[in-house]
Amino acid sequence: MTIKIQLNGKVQEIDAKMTVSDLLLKWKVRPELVTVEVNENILQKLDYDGTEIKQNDNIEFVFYMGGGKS
Amino acid sequence: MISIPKKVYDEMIAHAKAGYPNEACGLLAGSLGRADVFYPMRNMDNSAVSYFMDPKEQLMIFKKMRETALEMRGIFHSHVASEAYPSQKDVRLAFYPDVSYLIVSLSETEKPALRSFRVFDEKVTEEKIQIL
Repeated sequence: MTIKIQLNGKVQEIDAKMTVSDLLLKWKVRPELVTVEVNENILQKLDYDGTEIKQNDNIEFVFYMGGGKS
Repeated sequence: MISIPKKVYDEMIAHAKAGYPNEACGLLAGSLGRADVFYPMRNMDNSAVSYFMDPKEQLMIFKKMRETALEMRGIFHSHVASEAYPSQKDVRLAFYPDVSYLIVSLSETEKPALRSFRVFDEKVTEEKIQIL
């Protein structure tokens, strides 16, 4: 069974019962490098494993942006 | 190559100077190789040697870009006392291979030097900047 979600503004179909960790793994995204927001709430990394994605969830992730001379 | 309207260039330089002596940062958005909009961002590090954008602010700006049918074209920051070239840290933290990484050096404050790079797989390639 699959569900539809919005991922970074685009509709995506994913397997039901996936967690945020599963989704990042599917997209080959290293969890330690991103901030994830689910339905306007930023998740703590500790919650990635336990957060199951549901139909019509709106998920955003952004990679860290940083650097500098050092 | 990345094309930048003079107005946007001026906004980037003004933001970098306003942040001095700390590094400043921002995002550029546009379409088709043009960066038409500059979003000044807060440097959470408040540091002269590093910058880190606020993820909440990033998320907000990304949504704003989408609402206005723009795409991220560039990630900008300043080096206040060194050349405009990606440091090891810049390269290590470059996760967007499809956008330009623009760096302005303020080592000569009255003569800012802006350069642009692509970073893919930790390889740095300089690209031309066209000021429109």
